[in-house]
Amino acid sequence: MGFLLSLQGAISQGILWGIMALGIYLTFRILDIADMTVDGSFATGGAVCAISILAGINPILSIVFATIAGFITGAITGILHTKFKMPAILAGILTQLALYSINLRIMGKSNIPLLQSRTVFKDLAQFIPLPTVWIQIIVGFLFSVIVIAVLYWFLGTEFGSCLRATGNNENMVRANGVNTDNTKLIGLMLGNALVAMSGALVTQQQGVADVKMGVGAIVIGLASIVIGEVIFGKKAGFKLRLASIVIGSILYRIIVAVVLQMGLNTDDLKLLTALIVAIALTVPVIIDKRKQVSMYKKLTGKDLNDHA
Amino acid sequence: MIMLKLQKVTKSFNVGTVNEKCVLKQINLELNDGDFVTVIGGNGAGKSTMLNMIAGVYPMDSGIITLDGENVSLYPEYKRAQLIGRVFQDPMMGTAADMQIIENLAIAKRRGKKRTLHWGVTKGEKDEYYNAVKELGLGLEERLTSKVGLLSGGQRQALTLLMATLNKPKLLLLDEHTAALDPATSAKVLKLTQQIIEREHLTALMVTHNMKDAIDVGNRLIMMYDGHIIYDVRGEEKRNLTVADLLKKFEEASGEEFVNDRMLLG
Repeated sequence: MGFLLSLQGAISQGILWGIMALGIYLTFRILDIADMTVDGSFATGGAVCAISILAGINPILSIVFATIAGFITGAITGILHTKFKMPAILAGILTQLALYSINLRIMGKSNIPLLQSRTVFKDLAQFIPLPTVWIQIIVGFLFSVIVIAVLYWFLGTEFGSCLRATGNNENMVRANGVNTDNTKLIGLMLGNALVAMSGALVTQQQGVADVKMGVGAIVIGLASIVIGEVIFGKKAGFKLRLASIVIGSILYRIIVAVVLQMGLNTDDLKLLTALIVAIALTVPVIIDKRKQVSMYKKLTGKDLNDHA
Repeated sequence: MIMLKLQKVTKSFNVGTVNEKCVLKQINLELNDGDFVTVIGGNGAGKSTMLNMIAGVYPMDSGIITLDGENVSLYPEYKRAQLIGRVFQDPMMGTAADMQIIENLAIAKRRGKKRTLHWGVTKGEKDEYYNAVKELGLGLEERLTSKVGLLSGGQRQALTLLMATLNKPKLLLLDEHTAALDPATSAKVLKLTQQIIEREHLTALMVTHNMKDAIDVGNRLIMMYDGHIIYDVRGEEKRNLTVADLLKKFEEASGEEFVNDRMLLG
């Protein structure tokens, strides 16, 4: 029974963190930029959401504010990277570091509990006679569906096509008269907006905003992306690929719940996360290599026998 | 009517170091509307640099570039690209490999237009691209939704050429665009280039290492050496040129024997 409960918790967490993974997918896979801002912007989303709720602002509107704050964090990284020609990794790390102080300034302290305050989930619980965890799952599902639909639409537009092409071949995009500074800037802004939105939702779900809540967020996002890719493959249709990221995020949380249930120390969680990403990225390479060698042996062996 | 005008365009690399090299020395050049100019010269003569200056890949040190009456000297690369079509030496450079043929074409079709939030590829465009790709004669029209990464170098180069001219550019820049292809494919892409330039009445600059090609195509030929244009010939005089003439001309200008296997081939 205890495990079933933690499984439900894992699903609701996974879905809400999945929106962050979608944001990371936009920068990491589509723009081909490892955006380190997200560790900071995730907490920024949480911080802005928490102080908005404390100020008596509607929880949904608080999420909107958090998302706008995410846009701004992405813009800072984007401007450092495009206008001032810093390597993307460095631009992201600088923004992330600055955000740590800024998040503390926003919150005024390192931790804001929301246990006595309104949240989206508590508000809905008054109308829907379901356990809170199911309400979290339903809300998370709705948010994911909307975000996936918007991303699918956006990346299919004229501008979205240029954004995809930028991650593919910047030179080609410029040669076709498009300013790649703009496509990268917008991509980073959108990605971080989604990350901050996720931070706001997670804050409301766990009932607390913490300045350290974003530590390792980028690796968790990558874990979700690669788990999704390992299961559904890289060749799936685009809608399914986006959905597979949220599913990957849920699976990641289930894996974490299972190993915690088995007695893993929570201190070792970051190590586990790093291992999941490392293994998920290593396995396909090893499999490819093995396939190639066994194919070589098979074909060469046959060939030599034929001519013998 | 003058389409492209270069006035005293100068470019040095590694300024202030022992490796300082002045690659373009006060180049002056005027191209009339509809001129198809081939550019030849040895390695390091400044051919590619001149094309890169016109395209705005990196900033020039001094000089003025005017395109169709517009001073583009300080325009960034993407802004000039709205007026200029380009095909590169590397077949990988002109297309987005992970995107479909039709998506690549749609991006090129919108050159010079604002990228909006309308659909990236509309239904009506598909027929247009089908016909345009069919004219390349490579059978790609049945594979419009294939990823460009699956195409061969020659196919990608032909596609890039189509993309560069899909929305008629004021100027077409071809930087050794057949050099990385095998001889048969190279000839095919060159033929396509000629056809498209003639049909669309384009103004074009084509850098080549193949002297025979340089003589056979286009209505004007320029030869570069050490950052200068040392020979400029057009019309009847160009048609009567031979590879031997060019070699002799080069020796006169440079005072060296012009030894370059690639230039003698073909």
